[in-house]
Amino acid sequence: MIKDMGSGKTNRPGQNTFDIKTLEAKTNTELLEAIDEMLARPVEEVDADFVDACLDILQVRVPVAEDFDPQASWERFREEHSALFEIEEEPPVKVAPSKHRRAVPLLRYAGVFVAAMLCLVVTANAFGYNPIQAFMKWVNDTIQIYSNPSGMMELPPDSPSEYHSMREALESCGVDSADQITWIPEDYSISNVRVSLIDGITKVTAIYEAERGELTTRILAMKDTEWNGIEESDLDEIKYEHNEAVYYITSNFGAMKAVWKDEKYSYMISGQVSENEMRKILDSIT
Amino acid sequence: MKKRVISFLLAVVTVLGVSGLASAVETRASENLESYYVGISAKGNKKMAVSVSIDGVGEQDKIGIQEIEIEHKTSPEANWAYYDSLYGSADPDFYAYKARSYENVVYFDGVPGEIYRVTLTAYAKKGSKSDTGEVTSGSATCK
Repeated sequence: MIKDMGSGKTNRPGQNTFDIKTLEAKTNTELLEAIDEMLARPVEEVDADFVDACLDILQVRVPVAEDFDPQASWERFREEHSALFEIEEEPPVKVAPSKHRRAVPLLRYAGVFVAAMLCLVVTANAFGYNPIQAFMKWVNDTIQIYSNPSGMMELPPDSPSEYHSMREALESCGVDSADQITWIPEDYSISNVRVSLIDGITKVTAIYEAERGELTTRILAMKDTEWNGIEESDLDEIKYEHNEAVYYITSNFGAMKAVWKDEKYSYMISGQVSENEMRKILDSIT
Repeated sequence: MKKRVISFLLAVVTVLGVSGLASAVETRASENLESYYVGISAKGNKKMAVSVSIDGVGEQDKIGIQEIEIEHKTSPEANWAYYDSLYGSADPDFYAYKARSYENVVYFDGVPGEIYRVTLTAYAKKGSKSDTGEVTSGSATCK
């Protein structure tokens, strides 16, 4: 209710009196605080005229449109100051892990792996075994096995040797039922075949030579004899089975060795060959 | 964590490396002998034959029989008893020189009905290095 402001004072029976001029001397903030203080009183003590007088003064100073729309005002403000609101509305940008971050764990694992391999190599070398050299040799031998033919296993016909091959020597001794190898590493060539026949002992030995060393094959029989034998070796023997036969692969002072026996004969192959080459020699047995 | 793992591995390597240098691994390998075989058979008329085959690691300066020890027993249930020995020092045919292998049959007289076995001591020498090895045959009954 808008009061007449001319008189400056308003009284009601039972209510507090107030001075318009005193109110007009207050600042807008003081008027608002006075209104809040009045409205905070119990209902029966509220002076509505006082509140109206304060509001009338405020209306004069800061007129509020009758048709004020706060929502529309807010929208206009956002349009006028859109830059302030754009930052808040943009979705957070996901940062992809950098290549540098991915590379670090891989480098750590690689470093640990290299350190472990180095430790293993050093430890193996302490026991006289070179794993790197062994691996390279294995690769070389594996390639060689599957790409190279057999070495020479027969002496030329014009050779002065009594026997030109292991097969010929065995046949001459009547030992044609013995196991016979049909393949040797390509770099080996037969150099000597020797037969020993002494009162029940039948022994046929062939020697093959290469730049890397010698390869010896031996077949021994002791007829009608209760015999035993020892094959020197420096490694636990590896049991190798092929075509229902059992062979034992070992070594003696750096030379690879294979031994086996059947009902009649004792066999031995020994020389400078790899384990893979030895297996292929055994695979060639007929 | 990585530093601890590397430190542990280095410690293990150090320990194993030191132990590898300090001790030698015993093996059955021979630098002179490749293999040696001995057999026994009864030839009849009290004669027993001892068959010997010895292979060297490549050519040896001297290879052959150092000793043949003969044992016997009167029955299968009895214990073996010493009978006789044959020595290479007493028989020049017990050795071959500048040879890769040695083969021979040595004879001795036994008692018919008794059971015999022999133990061969093989010998090989090349340069300043030599080696011996022993192997015992099966048994055979003298007839």
